[in-house]
Amino acid sequence: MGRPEGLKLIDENGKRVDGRKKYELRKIDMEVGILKNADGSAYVEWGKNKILAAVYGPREIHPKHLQRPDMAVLRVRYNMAPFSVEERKKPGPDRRSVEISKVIRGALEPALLLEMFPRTVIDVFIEVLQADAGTRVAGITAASLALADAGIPMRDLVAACAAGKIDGEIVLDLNKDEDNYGEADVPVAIMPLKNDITLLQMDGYLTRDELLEAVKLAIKGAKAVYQKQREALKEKYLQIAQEVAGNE
Amino acid sequence: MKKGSIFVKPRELVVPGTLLVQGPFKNGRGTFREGNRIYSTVVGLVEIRGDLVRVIPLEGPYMPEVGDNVLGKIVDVRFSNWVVDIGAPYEASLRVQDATEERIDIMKTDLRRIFDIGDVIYAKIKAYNEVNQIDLTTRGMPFKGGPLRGGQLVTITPSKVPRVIGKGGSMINMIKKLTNTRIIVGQNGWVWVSGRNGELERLAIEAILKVDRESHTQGLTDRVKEFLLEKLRELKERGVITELPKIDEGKEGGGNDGKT
Repeated sequence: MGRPEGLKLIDENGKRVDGRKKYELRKIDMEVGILKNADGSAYVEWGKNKILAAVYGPREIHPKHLQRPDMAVLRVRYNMAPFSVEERKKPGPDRRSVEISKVIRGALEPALLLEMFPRTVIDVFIEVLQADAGTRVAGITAASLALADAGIPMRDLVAACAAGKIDGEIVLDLNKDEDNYGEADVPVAIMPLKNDITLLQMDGYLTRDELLEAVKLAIKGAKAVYQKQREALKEKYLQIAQEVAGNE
Repeated sequence: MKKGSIFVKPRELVVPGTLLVQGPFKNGRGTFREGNRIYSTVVGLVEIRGDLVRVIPLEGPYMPEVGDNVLGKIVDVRFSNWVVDIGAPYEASLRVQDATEERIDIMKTDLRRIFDIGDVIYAKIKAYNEVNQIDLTTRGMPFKGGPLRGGQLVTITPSKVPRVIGKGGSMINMIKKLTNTRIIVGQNGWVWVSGRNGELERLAIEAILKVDRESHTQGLTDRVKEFLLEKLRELKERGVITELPKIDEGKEGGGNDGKT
């Protein structure tokens, strides 16, 4: 399907198009608390993905009939900027982003202690500024950081990562070319403490064994992401502490 | 494991999902229990007192508690009550009979003459019930609860209020004294600052925000004092103030080259 001629996703040395090895993640940078107006926020650069997440709440919900008397409502909006992809994306929600918003909500909800804030809403906004495959896993990673930064009680952070199949091999963390011309993509989100899977999707064709292998691989990747999340959350405060110590 | 084990240092910075202790402990705020293990649910500092384990959050919403003194902003005036924003997830309400000592005939009085939309009030949380209704009272509060005129409102993280106040009010009293401002700290993290001198008012706000930002570090009171004194010296050189405020320790007397 429109694959450029002669494009090999894995070369003879076992290297991928961007020079990574089969089980190597892209470079990931995270920063927490970068939006002043939001109650919590995070920015994640994952390879060429650039994603901003903001959390507001718990706050009163409007319209009132949406409120739940026993717990808070979690609302997630995943949105891609018109300039985030090569061909201009028509602004506004479409079938794809509505679905991704829905699955991300499902991925985050089990981690939150929503019953602590009945009759309220927690709003999560995920803005994709630049997309390069794997935006939903990067979005989940960023949203989970933003929720923690907002001080919303959580059982665990949610970390996510994708695995996929390219040129007949199962690899970790597909980039855009691999996603477009590869055979399958499997995004997975987990709560690492108890190894709970909160999101599992598959796009493409895999055998049962391949799927299992991909899921295991993605979980490994997500655990590496988890470590980075923990460091990023602490970094905000350690930086201030260091600064202060440096002034003495 | 008979006695239980502790996996964190006191005042250690933790993130959600960090295993704190295992064994016969009670889980306090900011934690949850799974079997006999206790984990943190927020980003914060661990505190273990006896067998009670809790995490003091570094961010998070204000959760009202009966008896808290809070600052609030009037957002609506109704027939017999005011709706007040106190920075909690729920709106608070102040009824007429809780607002003043004297009896008010609501048919004859315009409630906006007591508190109007946008007014800042100082109130106590009278009740907070199961359906998350927050009732306030301004009875018996200083200056009849307000409205507080002039001055500025700054917001800090509610969990850091004890730090801004300091041990026995040491921090807040120092800021007040050095900047010659009036400051009211609400338990909800709203702080009202008012000074005759705009520069000093701004300085007090800066100091409060500094405490908010650096609340998790050591030796904060001394650092804030240093910070304030340095800024005050600057202000004096610019002629904004004529004299440095006196504090207990000996300070250089300083000549009077200021222009008032």
